[in-house]
Amino acid sequence: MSTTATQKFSPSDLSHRWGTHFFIQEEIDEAPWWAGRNNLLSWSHNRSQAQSSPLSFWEVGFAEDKNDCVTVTYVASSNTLEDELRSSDLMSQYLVELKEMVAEAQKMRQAYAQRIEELRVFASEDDECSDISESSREDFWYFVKSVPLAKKAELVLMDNGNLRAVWKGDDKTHIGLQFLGSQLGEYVIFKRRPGAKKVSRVVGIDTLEGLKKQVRAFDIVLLENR
Amino acid sequence: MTGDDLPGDSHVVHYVKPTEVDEGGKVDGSAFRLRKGESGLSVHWLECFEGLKPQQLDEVRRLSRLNRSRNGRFAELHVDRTKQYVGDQLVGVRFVRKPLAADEDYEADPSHSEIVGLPPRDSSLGALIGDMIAECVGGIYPACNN
Repeated sequence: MSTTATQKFSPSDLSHRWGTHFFIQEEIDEAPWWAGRNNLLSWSHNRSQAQSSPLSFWEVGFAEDKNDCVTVTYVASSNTLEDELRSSDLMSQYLVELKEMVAEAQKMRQAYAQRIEELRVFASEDDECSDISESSREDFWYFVKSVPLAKKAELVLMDNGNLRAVWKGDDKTHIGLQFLGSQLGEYVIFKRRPGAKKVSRVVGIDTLEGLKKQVRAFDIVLLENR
Repeated sequence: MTGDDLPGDSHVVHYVKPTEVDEGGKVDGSAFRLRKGESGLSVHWLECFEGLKPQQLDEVRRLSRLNRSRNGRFAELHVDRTKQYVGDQLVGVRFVRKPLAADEDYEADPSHSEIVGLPPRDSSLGALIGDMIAECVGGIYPACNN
């Protein structure tokens, strides 16, 4: 896995101009698989940083092609050539950060793939354990790709062949998610709120998208920040 | 004897498969869900045996009838602490003796016990309680003497 070493991006790479706006494209060798779903970045801190600068960027997005090549696109506003150059520099920095994030995400994906293979071997040695369920495995990949900034989860295999991922925070906050297949998950959430003696606990079955809403309702950032 | 509650200030170990141990060596809550056909979670009472913990664990390994993987682990639980912690969500959990008599293939195992009163295997409450019990694990040991 690698991203392009050469920064192709420069003001001369501007592919279109829309009045005072310009439109820039950057290709990355490896798809930021984690960004694939919604296309409009999870790259929010960069975006807000950009918004607070005199230059503004918006519509930062990704498009994957059949070869897993990705085009990073953004639109920035500028009034002068100097602004254009500044925005170009700023975006270049963001793209470097982006590539680092992509590299980290790819590393995590490799670690998950190795772990799944290890679990498969363990399961093959255990008469009582089913092999890994295809639909559970697919849902696992779908989910982790949809939460690109999540820290790495611990992954185990249940006797029924379903994968279960567990994210744990430093404050003993905990999200356990069994991938049931058909885009459903059985979740267990523990949340220790500052100053509260009791732990809030909730458990249930929901769609994978619904689960994200539950996690947000609990004000848990494990799926949003490493 | 059979069905008696274990002393509160004692410890049990539960066999955990390698698929239920995470990469950091911690035991996942799925290890504490009932398995197919079980009404209680099988454990071994350590204080049933004389000696210090290493000797007690050796006796458990010697007498256990489970098919243990070389990568499997024994997870240790303190009886009262686990009951109290889980009691926040589920009442009626008990640690009871269920010694196994000798038969043609095995010696008697007086340490064999069960955690009873756990939710059904496939229930969401089972997932919650499993994760709570996993938080009570006080020690993790190899299931086999390699």
